Amino acid sequence: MTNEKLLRAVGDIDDRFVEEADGNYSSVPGAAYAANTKTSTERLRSRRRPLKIAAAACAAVLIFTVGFFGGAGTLGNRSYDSKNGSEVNTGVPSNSTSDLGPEGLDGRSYDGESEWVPSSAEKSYNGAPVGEGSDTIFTETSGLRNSKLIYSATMSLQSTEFEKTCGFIKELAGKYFAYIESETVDNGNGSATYRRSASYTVRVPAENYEKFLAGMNDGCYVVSLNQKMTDVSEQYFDIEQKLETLRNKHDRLEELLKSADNMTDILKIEDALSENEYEINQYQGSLNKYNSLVSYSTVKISLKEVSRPDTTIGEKPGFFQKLGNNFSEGLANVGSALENLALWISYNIVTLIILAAIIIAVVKIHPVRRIKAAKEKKNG
Amino acid sequence: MDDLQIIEGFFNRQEDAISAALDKYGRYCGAVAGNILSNYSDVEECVNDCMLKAWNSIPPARPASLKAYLGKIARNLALDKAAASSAQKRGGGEYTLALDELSEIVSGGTEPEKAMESSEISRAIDRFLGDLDGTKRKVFVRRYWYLDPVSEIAARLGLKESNVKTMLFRLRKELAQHLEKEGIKI
Repeated sequence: MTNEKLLRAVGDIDDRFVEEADGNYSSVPGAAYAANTKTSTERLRSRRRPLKIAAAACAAVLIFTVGFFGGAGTLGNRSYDSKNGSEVNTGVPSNSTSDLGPEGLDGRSYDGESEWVPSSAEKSYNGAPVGEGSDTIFTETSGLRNSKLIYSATMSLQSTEFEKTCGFIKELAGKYFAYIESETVDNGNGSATYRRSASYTVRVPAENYEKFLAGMNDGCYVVSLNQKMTDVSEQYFDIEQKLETLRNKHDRLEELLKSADNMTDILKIEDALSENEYEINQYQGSLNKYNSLVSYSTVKISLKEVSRPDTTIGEKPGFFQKLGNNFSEGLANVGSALENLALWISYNIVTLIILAAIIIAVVKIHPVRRIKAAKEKKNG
Repeated sequence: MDDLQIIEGFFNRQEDAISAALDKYGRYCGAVAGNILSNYSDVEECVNDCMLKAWNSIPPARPASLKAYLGKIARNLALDKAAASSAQKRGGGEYTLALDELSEIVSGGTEPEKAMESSEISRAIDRFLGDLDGTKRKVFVRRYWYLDPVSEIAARLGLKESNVKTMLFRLRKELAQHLEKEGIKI
């Protein structure tokens, strides 16, 4: 068979294959032929590869920027130092988490008199019961429920019944329609120094966020809780506005493409359409990401198994109570130390026996002892 | 005028059907022929001949896809012209390159007693293409039906040129094996 015959045979393949592989030749006029026949979708696809990486990088930078610099300040920071037994409540918004100065990203500031609306807020509790009493979390933000707010929290828990607590966390997540995004369990080695631990990332529907945090007190001992609220309304609505503008532009370009009658114009319009579609996809991706973060709050939980929970945390003890606490802690430490010693000995028992045998042998047959014994015998 | 109306026009011997076909698919046929022929006047001639040949063959032919039908006529006419040009040392661009590539897998012998009908080879190639995934099939058809340059295929499908070359190399080997398996001596 000749190569020409094979090439001609290829020419008679099924029409479907020819149609499938075809671009928009019929819609591209002029004599430039194949060089100008890429469809806008294919052109977009070929461009997207490097742009995808850039888009991912931009999204990461954006999220980082929003998360890190997004704060105009914190709500009155209330923290409790369990070591010193003192409680600090600054009572005024602090901008310590923002590098942008008092104005923050959105230019809103606290002047001590006018109503202050945060764009980002943080609140830390050490051992304080969540959602109890009048100190409701983020009450300052209740008026912002229509805004686009991202809630996130980090919790440290202690438990004497590790498995039961793990089950409780999952049960609570189910109760509030949350889902566990990630779960890591470390089984430890059974010793007092290396006990079991687990970490969870739970995505909770925003409307159940506070109930979920409050519910954690019922089954776990909450050692610390850090909450953060970021207001992304401005970015969100800005993106929405951009998307609307881009979609309008897309419609106009499509109209122009229909009425274009020369190849140069068609190619220019198709290029503009590709750019436009890419931008729409990029902004839509960011919007989807914000929607996900807004509708589902993120709660990161770290759970540690302990022999007894740290009772001093979250209390405001008097002198005698502190004395009593320290004494019982000291006793518990002695018990723990003895337990560790017993475990260490059982682990190293063979080594210890060999070492003891060597020491006894060395002491018994030491030359100095033998010389001394010989002298004593001679003298005696 | 849509494809069915054009075909009906050919059947009813309405000459404006030729103008409609030329308006709708003239550039497409030009693009197919343009990949094979380097001379623009040859391409124009090829497109006009294509319409004439379609006029003469419809009826009795009633193509399911007018676009592919016209494309095939244009391609065959362009191949004829390129073969003649090649004989006259006027060069054939992608046509010559594609022939060179295919010569890797064919013996080049005529062997008339065992010669297969071209249509049988085409059906075997259909089956070969039917087993390929979409991207590979597109790459093959774009290269050996449309005779697109490798760079153009890579840009069109969002692939690297080196990937397209490797893919084509493997596809040629696989095609040779497939044809051998089907009893077609190449």
